Amino acid sequence: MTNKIFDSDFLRKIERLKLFVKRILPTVAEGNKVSKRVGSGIDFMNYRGYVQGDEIRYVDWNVYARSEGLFIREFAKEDAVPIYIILDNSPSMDFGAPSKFIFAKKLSAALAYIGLVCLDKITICLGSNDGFVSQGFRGEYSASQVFDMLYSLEINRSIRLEEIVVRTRSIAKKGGAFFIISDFWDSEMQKDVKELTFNNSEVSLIHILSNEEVKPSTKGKIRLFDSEGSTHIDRFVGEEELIEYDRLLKGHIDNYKQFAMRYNMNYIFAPTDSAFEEVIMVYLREAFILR
Amino acid sequence: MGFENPIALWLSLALPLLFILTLWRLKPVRVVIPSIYLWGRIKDRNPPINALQKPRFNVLLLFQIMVVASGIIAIASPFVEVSSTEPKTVIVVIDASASMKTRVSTTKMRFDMAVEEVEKLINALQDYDTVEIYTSGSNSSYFKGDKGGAFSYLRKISVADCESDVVDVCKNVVISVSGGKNVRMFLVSDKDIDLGDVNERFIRILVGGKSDNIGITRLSVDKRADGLYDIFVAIGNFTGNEIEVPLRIADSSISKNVIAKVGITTLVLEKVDIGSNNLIEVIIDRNDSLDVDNGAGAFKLNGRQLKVLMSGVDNRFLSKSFRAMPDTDLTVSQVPTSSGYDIYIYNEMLPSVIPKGGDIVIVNPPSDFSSFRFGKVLDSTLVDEGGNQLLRDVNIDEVKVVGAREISSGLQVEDVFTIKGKPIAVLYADVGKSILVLSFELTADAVGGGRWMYYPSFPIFWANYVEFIRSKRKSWISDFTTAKVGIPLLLPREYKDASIRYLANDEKLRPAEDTDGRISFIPYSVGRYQMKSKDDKKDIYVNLLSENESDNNGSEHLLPDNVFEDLKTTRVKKPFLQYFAILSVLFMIICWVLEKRMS
Repeated sequence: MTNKIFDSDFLRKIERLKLFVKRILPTVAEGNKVSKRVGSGIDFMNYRGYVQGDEIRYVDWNVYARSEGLFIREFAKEDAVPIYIILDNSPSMDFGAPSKFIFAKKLSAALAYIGLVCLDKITICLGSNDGFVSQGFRGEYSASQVFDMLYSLEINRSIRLEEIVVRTRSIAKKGGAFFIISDFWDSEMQKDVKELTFNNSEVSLIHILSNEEVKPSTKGKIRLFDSEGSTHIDRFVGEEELIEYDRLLKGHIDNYKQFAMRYNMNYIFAPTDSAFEEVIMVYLREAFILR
Repeated sequence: MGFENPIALWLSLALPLLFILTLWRLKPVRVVIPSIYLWGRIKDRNPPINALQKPRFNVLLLFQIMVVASGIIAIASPFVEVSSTEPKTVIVVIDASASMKTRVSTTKMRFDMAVEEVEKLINALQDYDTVEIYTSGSNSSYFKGDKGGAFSYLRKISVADCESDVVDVCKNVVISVSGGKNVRMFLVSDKDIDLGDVNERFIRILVGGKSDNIGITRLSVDKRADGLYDIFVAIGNFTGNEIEVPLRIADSSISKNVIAKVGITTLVLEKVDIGSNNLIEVIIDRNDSLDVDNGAGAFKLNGRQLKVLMSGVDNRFLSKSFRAMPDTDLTVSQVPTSSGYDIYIYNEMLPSVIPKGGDIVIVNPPSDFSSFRFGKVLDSTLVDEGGNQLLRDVNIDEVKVVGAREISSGLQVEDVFTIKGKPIAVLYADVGKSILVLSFELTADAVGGGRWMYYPSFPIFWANYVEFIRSKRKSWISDFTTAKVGIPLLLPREYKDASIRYLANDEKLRPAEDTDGRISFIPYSVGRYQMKSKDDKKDIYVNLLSENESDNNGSEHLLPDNVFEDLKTTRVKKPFLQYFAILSVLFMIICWVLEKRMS
């Protein structure tokens, strides 16, 4: 599979990973993860070669006519846990070097791919200039569509993250596993986020900040403009102010950690200057988001 | 120092402004951040803001100021005024005659001093000045160029072994540069030569010092009636002191000590018997710094007698006059021979061929002297007292020989000389192609018949006639003669094809024939020459050098001070804005590097 986000080596590495859903949701028959057994569901998943014991009725005769080979069509089980990836593409994400937004898109793409390879149903929820957008994908073959969609995704200025969360909640009626990738500058959104924990759904918060946000360097008299509003403040930034900022930032991060802990959510802090592969292979696994 | 654009200096007001601007506290920096959430919770200390910051040493600002300052000065175009002279032309005439060989020390000649003085002169010139150098003498040459080329040229010139006419050279120089601007002319010589009307145009540089020179300046030999010779010698003493000098005649026993007074001393060596020698060499036995004039020679080119033929009736007065001429061999014959003689006198009898040119032919000498005209080539437009047309430049080809008998019996077509139809007596003289015409008409007696030869009754007439002959037989004179360098030596026609060898370097030379048919040879070097014709060999001894070649003005050389002082000097502006422009660029580069490093 060719894509513009990852190279094939990286994809081969993360193919072995699985999204780890700790909760046993009522709709899940096996209680863990979406089974890979072929079910009677109507959702086609993929083909596999016929082996002795397979039911003949699942042989795709059209494929046989073309290829003279026997192939079985597999369908997803109806009782798989839906995965929702909520990507913050608000203006505040378009910041930093490397860009937070690109980092977030790559994370979303990686999580989606891992899920798709595991035959999970992935729904990506985000904002666009026309409002809320959600799109579902299933099966490994749809990974390229995910990559294309995320590659061409742009910053939206029309809908805020908390609204995306609210809208996601409204479509995820049966619950599921929610991954929210954002910079979480707005603490007001916590009340919307915690609503996602209904029906024993699992929520993972992936907190992304750029190095410039973690350690700002500009000093002197500065007029600070908010990227998502027209407001600005003037501050004189000296050493004292930087120390104070650092303290406040740590408090802010802690605040989200506590919030996550309180509502049994997974939380990881992933600054963009971290190596991306390390974030996937180490941080997310340490946070029990992946295994 | 000055500025071409001083108004540009007003731009320097920007410098303090630049300094103030750097102190000016700038507006807050505008920064867009993802969220002002945290910053909003930080209290603004709001320190007191002054419009101007505290000045601090800023090396970048310093170089920026220097960029601006250098640029302003460059725009203002600074210059300094320096003195300069306009381009000038310096012309030097160097006397390269033999006297410049006089030594002033064991290693240096006057000529060397002259070259040194010229080099000093040229050294004082600017690179844009022009130098012209003329040297006079047999090695004369010319140079025109810049001072660098002039130095190279000066190393190549040399002094000649002869006298030279510096006056002619100087006059020609003046003609060629008339009207030139900023021209200075110099004459470098050991003689304070009078240049005539161009005297004031030349600045003299006199070289030389006290000399020890004594030399022979003139020599002439006079044959006495008794066959001996009187030798006249002039000795020049330029030492400043009266000195006794030994004098002798080479190849003889004649020698004497002569007191040479300061200046010119003349003496006569009387009654000198030189035997059959064709060369008289007078020598001063003395070593001095100019030895070319220590000897002089007189030589005899043609030792034979003048041969005269009188054919026909012997004209006693004429024959007597010829016999009175020294070294003259007169033959009276009834045979009208037409070759082998120098002078032919045909009385009544004419040969079939009249000798033409180079000899004197007298035909029918007149008996009536009053109708006889002496003279040179006569003018056809002139008429004499008797109304006779005087002819001029008559070509020998126009002469028609008419038979003599017709003369005696009246006018006949042949054997009678006629010129333009008029029967005359023709006298050929050795003046080349032109005929010396003695114009007279044959008398009625001569024409009318009968004996046409009369014996004149006035011996004086014949004496004058013979004197006239004598005056025309210069080349036959068997006297001794002296030759001077650069002066043409007339030779008899028999030496026309002679070969001449200069014994000093075995150089082969030839006589030349001029447009008048005269044969001559110009020796350009002092020394001995040997001339060989078909059946004759003669030694030619060439002497100096004119009298003043040995002269010594006795003064030290001096290049006049400040010879160019009166030339117009100007003050020129020498700009140097380019240095400030370069500085400005240099400072700009430093500023750029500093900014890069600071950022």
